[in-house]
Amino acid sequence: MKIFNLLPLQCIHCGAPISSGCSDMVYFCQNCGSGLEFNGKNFELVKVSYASPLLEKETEPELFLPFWSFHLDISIKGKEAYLPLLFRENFLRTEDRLFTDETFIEEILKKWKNKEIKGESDFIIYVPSFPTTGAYAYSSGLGNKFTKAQPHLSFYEKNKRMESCIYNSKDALAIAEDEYISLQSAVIPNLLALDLSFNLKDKKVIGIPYIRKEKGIFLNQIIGEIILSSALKKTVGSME
Amino acid sequence: MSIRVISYLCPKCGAGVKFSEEDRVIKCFHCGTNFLPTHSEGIERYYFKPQIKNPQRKIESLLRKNGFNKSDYRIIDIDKLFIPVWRGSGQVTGWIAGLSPIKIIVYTETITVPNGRQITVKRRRREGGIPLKKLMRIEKEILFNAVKFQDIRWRNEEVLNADYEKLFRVYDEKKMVIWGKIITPDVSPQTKKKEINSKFINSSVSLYNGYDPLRHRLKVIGQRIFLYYFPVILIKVKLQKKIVSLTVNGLSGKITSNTLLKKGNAPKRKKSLLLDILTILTSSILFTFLIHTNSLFLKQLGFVISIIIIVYIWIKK
Repeated sequence: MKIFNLLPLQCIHCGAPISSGCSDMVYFCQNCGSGLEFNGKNFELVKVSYASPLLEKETEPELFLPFWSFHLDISIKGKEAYLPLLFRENFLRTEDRLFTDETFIEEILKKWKNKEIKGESDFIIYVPSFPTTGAYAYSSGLGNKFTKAQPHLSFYEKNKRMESCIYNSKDALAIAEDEYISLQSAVIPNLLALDLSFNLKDKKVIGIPYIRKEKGIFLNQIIGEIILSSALKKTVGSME
Repeated sequence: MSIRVISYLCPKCGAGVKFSEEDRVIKCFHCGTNFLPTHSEGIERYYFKPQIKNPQRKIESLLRKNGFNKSDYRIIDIDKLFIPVWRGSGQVTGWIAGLSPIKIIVYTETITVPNGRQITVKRRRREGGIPLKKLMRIEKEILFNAVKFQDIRWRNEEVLNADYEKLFRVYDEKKMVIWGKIITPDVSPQTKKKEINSKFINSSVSLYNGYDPLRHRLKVIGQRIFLYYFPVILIKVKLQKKIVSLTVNGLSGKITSNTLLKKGNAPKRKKSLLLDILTILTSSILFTFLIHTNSLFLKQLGFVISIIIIVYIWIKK
């Protein structure tokens, strides 16, 4: 067995060669729009969608930045509870509790049982996965804002050009767990004391549309957040 | 650390491809194909092309410089080895929860006693011990020897030396074995991966001095494991009845030894000891003879000679 190998980057769906950035972890086919991920042995297809704008709909997006989206079923190990519900701020009154308060967990479960889950079954965590310069600490807020907003997205039928995606699904899922805890710990103070389990139901990369607002500023057409163009690291361009 | 550039041949068109050690995708600028470098077991293996042609001559010249003659030493064994060094990198990310450090604060307070006088008293108060939560993301890098080799003395940081960039190559067993033996790491890559992960997490937790972590959900993301094979030449020399191990750095030629090489000290010490014994013996005989004579002058001369000898030995020591 050869120890080092150069595997040609080729779409496993249509066979076209793929051009990619030097630090990319997901490779997007410019021909058919498929996304590929390398699992250490083979390439795997990743679901890719391009969200159509919710804001400034008349303007055609200039770029699509990749966000991993995870549909997760989060529960306390050994107990039946659909935890994403608790994230709704009105579900549970915030109180200061000790870290290992068993009665508090029982209270959560009791509240859960009395609550109906109509229309609440979809809980998606978004993880921004495009490269940024050091000045812009990305994990700091955008993912949380997206997850909190839970936008109702509609998608383009035609494929677009996606920018570099620097996290594979495994790493992005680890970040998603942190994001979930960041959101929930505002509601449940002792969340870290619970033995949480994150069951992945579905995953995909969503291209979030951005337009250029002014010189050096891009606007997110889903939740209206802005990002400085200087904060975006162009890895594809650096290779070409 | 500096990012090193590696040269390789494009498997599609045969043109030279240059890529950085940090790259996850490689592009051939000749045929335009993009490649994904894949490594067996997920371990990125590289080696340094040895530069030292005649290590034996280097050792001989060193010994000569240290005052040893050809008859003082004999080279008994030469081993050319590629020594593996592990490097791990990644990001530790996650939440940590625990109690803040407990401190005793001493402060003064002015109080009024029953007779109306005001006095200052010292008081103590306990602070900290409150639950804290923190989200962390830290870049980690680790470098350590992959084998325990008592005879070899060198610094594993040398593998990151930017001066060796031109000698940096993708692991190629066929080419490497022509030069020397390839040493296998002590533990399997899978065990090492887990060990590096736990080292990263433990060191991240230890950043919180005095902090009592009750629970943490830390994970390592973007982990990369490297094995660098560094050329060294191990030479065993019989040096005046002692066997000395000398290590020659295969790139710089720098020599390190497992013992202190001193310029012909051992024979000198023996000669000097013999001379001292002879001096003491002669002076004692002379002193005994002189103090047993009847002449006062000779007796005094005997004492003076003995004092001079004692002072001479003392100064010499």
